[in-house]
Amino acid sequence: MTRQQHSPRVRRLAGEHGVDLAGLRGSGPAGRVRPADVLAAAQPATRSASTAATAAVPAAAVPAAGSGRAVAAALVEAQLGTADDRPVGPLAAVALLRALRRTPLADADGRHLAVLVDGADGRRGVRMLSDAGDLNPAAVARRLADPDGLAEEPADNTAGDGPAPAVALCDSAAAGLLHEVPQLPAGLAAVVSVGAPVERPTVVRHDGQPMLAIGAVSTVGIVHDPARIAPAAAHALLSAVRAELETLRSTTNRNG
Amino acid sequence: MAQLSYREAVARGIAQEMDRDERVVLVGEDVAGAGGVFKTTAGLLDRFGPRRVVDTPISEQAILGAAMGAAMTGLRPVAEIMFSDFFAVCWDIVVNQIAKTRYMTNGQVSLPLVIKSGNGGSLRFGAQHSQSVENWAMAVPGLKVVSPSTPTDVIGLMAAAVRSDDPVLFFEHKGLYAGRAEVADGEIVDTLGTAKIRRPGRDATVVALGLMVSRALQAADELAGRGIDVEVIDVRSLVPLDVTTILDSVHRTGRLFTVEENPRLLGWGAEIASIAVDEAFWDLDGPVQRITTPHIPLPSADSLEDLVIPSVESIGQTIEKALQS
Repeated sequence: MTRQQHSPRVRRLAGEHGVDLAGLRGSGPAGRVRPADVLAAAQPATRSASTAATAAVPAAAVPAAGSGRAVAAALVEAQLGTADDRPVGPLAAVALLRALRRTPLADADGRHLAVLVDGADGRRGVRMLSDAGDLNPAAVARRLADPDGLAEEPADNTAGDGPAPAVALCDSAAAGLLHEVPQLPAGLAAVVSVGAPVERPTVVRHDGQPMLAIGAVSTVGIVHDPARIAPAAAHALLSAVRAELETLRSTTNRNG
Repeated sequence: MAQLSYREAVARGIAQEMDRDERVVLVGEDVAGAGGVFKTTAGLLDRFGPRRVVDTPISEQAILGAAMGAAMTGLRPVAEIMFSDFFAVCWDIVVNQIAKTRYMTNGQVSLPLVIKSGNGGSLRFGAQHSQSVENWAMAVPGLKVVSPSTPTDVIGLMAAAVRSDDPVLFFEHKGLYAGRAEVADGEIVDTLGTAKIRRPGRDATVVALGLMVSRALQAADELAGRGIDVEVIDVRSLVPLDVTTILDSVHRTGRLFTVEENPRLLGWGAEIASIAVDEAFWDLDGPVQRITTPHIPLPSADSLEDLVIPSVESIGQTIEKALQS
């Protein structure tokens, strides 16, 4: 019996995109599967999912009411620089934590990350990534990918670690959605949602010269409970997340 | 803008800080009258006088003992250890005294001092005057460790080191002293703990320090001609270490190489490889590979020294072979 060796990156990408490595022919030396091979195999499925999402959810959709409470929503576009294959969710998580560290909002101070997670039973819950404030995007991605690393949100403040943050992240990009306006779960004051990047022609500067490149744009939105957070504060957080996300992408794309 | 050599940049960086803050003083063997054996402190005696630019006897322990006492009593000294190999004769003061003073005084005494030193090989100085010892320094808690690769970085990181309230070991590379580059006019201040991407690339991340940065960049140019596009990161600061820039790069490229002049065992790249495997395992598309000097004393013969220290050829060949297997 022969066993094909795959690199950690190839195995991660295959898992993320639902690609069966056993049936994949690699283009690398001695038939080694390269990351590009996995992405190429995954492309048809991803395409149809994002097309369906675009059709089903028109931009600036009317937000669904959460738990019978009045909610408000706002959307902005984040320019992500030149397009690449990095998932935007972990970057948005780091951007949200940085924004909250600078301006804490409703008990959320950017030390712990709350995320909306769809459970195996199809029900949506809030999970906690504790002490996530000093993680980089790669580390966030790794910890989010490990279901055992996520704590259930404490029902009350008896967990001893202090309150769960009242602001959570919804990674609609992971589901291939252009943008999801999520319900606001009970107990949360706001949910920041990030959508799958779409490619657009973008002007970039290379050694000071303007050039056309393929850029990526994600929609970042916030759903909040106006009874707990003033719209101006919610919009300020949204702008801060967008700014952090754009900075993260540009500094990690190219750093002088 | 002016063309400045690396050695001139050392003097300009120190002068910039001595101009700004009269507590900054310079001590070391031949730093005053002779302007430094590598001419890295030329002109400072004339400009700042013998009270602030002080020649010492040939005793590394005396130099660092004086610098430590000066820092304890309110000055911000820059001390020179001529060859970094000579840290071996004053390591007790560095490791057991300077690095531990703030900790052992419960924060009551800080030591804002910089120890600058000529480090590294390629100049045929033989086994006792050519070593890359930055990994010794990196292994001691309580020290900051920087090693600039360009004249501009020399000035900016020297300023950051002088302004740091922690002891900073500042490794100048002897093989870079003669190199020249354009340097902006006016004050230059950099940030400790920041790496720089010298060349963006898609296929692999190459992390280098000191003299190895220019060699890695040359190797990258040659690889580009063969269709391999590597990113070159200048680490600049080993402690604190800019993990974010390195891991973000690995996230994009999937491959990591370190280019180290220090002997292989426990070189600084081993720590970076460990961090990458810990934090970015699922981004890796192949083994982390270290390109280092072997674990031997450095030879003085030209041909042998060239053979053992990573070269443009050996860097390029190692990367190309790894990416094609």
